Amino acid sequence: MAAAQASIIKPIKRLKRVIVGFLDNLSIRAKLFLYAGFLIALMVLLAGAVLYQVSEVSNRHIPARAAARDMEAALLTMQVQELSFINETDSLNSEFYLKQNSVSLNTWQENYRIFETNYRTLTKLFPQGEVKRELDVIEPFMARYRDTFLALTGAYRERGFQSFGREGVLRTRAESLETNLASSNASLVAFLRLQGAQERFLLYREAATISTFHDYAAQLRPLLVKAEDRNLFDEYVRLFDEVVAIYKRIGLNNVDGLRGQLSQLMKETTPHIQAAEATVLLRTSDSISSIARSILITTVLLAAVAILMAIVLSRLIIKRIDLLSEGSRRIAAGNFNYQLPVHATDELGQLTQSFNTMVEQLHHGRQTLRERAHALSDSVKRFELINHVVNEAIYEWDIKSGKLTWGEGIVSVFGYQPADKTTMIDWWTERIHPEDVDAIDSSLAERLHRHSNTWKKEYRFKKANGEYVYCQDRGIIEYHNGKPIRMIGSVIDVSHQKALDRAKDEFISIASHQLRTPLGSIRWNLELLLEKVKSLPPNLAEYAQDAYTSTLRMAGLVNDLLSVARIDQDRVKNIPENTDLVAIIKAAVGEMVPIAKVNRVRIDSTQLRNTRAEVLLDPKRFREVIQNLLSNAVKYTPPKGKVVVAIENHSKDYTISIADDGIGIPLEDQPKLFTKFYRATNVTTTDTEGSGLGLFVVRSYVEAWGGRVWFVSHPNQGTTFYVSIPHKPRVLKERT
Amino acid sequence: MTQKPFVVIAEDEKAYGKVYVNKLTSEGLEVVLISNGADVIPTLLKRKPNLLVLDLIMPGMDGFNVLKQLRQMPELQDLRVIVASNLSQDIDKAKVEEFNIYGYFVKSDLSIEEVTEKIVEAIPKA
Repeated sequence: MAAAQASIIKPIKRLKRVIVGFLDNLSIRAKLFLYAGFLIALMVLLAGAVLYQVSEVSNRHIPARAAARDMEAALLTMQVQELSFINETDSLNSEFYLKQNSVSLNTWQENYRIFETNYRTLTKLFPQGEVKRELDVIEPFMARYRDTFLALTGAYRERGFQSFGREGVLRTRAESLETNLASSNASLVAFLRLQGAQERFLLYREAATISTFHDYAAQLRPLLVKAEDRNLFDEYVRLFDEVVAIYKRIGLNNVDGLRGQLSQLMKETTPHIQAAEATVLLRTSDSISSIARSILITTVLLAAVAILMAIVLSRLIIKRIDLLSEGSRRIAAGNFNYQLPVHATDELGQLTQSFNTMVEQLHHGRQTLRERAHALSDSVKRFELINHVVNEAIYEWDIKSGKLTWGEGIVSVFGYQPADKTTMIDWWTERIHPEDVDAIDSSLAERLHRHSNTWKKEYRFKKANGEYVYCQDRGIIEYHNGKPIRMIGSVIDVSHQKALDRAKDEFISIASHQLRTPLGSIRWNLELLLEKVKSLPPNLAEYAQDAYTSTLRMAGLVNDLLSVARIDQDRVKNIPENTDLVAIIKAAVGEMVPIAKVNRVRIDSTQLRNTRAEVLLDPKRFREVIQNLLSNAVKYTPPKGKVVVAIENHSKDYTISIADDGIGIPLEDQPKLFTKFYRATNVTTTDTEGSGLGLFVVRSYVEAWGGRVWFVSHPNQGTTFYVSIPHKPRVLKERT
Repeated sequence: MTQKPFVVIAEDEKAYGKVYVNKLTSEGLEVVLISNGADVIPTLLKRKPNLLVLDLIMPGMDGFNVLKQLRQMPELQDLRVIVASNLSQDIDKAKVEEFNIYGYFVKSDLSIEEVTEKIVEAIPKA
């Protein structure tokens, strides 16, 4: 039993799977179209059924109803005509009716035809069923009715009336007899009596009258003497009997003879006909109500099917949407390994597929994010460690909100509480030495205004214990759409360094004084000695000259050292004034000519003739620059060489070129040329003197003005140094 | 015959002093050499010179203070002063420049000829 059930359920289940699979793979649009199509088909089908029923009614029931009614009407007419016919036959103008075509008869016959036609229509409309059975009952009755009626009319015709037919013959004989018997009173009286009976019979058709007639006839017969009269009489009686016989056939009253049969038949037929009509009418109204019913059923059925299909369809879709939402819920809960089953290719299938892809990417992205977060937290940890280790307070200033976040340094270096690590910018401003606030404000405002990416400032900052210490603050400024949004930087306590600087300054000051004092003394004394050089033995004069040269060199070295020290400490005093660069170059060339002569080097400055180049800068510093470059050029040019000095006016700057045809600068030395104490390798091997500080000084000054210094060099061909001085050099700020 | 120009040299370093005196005397100047800073102002007050050549680092009283004090004295306010030091830092120069000095030079940077020229040039012409 269970096995049998399973064997039925299995294929059903398989079929269901196939259908569901097919539906799932259809696109939702196709599903909806299918659904709508199915509903439309169903509606058409049901509308067809309704239309069929309506046509049934209009083609069958309505004509049937009419036919049945017509039939009944015809029957009624026939009955009326029948009675009318019978009445007419007994009336005075029955002759006309019986001799001519009787109107009643004609009408009857016409109605019979109508009846019959409608009967046929009905039997055709209802070839079977209850109506047919009713109709079948009617048919023999109707035939008999028709035959009976015809027989009746025949009998009536045979009977005739008054002056014709049997009745006419009878009356004629009666008149002949009367005439024949007029001679004998007795027989005449008897005959008149007999004749009266005959008239009474014809008038009232009483059965009793017949025997009265025969009694009177028996009484009259013996009175007749003549044979002729007897024969006439016998014929008269026979005629009377014949008329009686006809009347008996017709029926003496309404219940016997043909008339009785007719009324009997009518009595029997009418209910059948009425029943048939009733059935037809009932059927018609039945079918109309059945149309109403089937429309109702159809509507209900259609609605039910539509709802059912909608439920099935929506369940098919909703089930999967539920799956999707369940999936998204799980994924939202963090289960990224969750994969939605994809078993269809419709929109939901595609959605599911995309969903899975999205989840994969999300998963991947999250993993990457996690790794990055891990890496980030590593670097944050590292950063925190560094924060602990370095001797500076790192900060981040959110310029927009004013929020200021400090690193560990604000605690370890400046002694503040960890709670102060997150604060507002005012916290910082309040702790700056009042004398430094304006300078900081203006320098910061200037950097921000110029969209500079860096800011650097030294100022006095209050530690937690109230002591002011010198700090160096370096920040990197970030901009977004041209607006400063953030500055990240660090504050270093440089008070120790400051103290060292002060010590160094003092040292340099003392050193320069202490070194220069004996140097100056040596120099002056040697000069005095050299004034008397002619009175000295030649070799002694040479010693004195060498000592003097070395002394000058020593003085130069001391000066270079002091310059470098000043530059290192940003202590270059710069007094800008309107300066003609050309004049200074010319003067420097003039100073250099004697030395150049000693080296047998020619300085060509003819290009400088008749030119001027006025800019605003400190002429002393510019002179230092040119002196350095010129002395280098002269120094490194071999005897008979040439140094060419020139100046060019460009759109924004003057470019001074000092070209020699000396030993050149080896390629590997070129990048390091402008660094402190650096001397090219090929120089140190020659005996040419130099401190290695000159180019450093040159570059420091020129770049401070916003200019540039560079060179083009080819070993053993010479070097050209270029210095560009902007038309408007940057004004240097003195630091104290 | 006009009087010789009178120059006071405040210089503690004997080697310099000797050269100054030799050179300037040979140029026809009357030279007084003072090697202690504290003695400078009394000497100036005793007889106002045509020019004071002042060193900055000296025992007794340094050149900065000498300058400061003498500028506060009405009789010495207009005295021509040349600072001859071996301090070349701008800050040192700036410090003395506010006292209306006539010149400033670094001794070791100049030859004695140049120094003499500067001094002679600085003496007010009668």
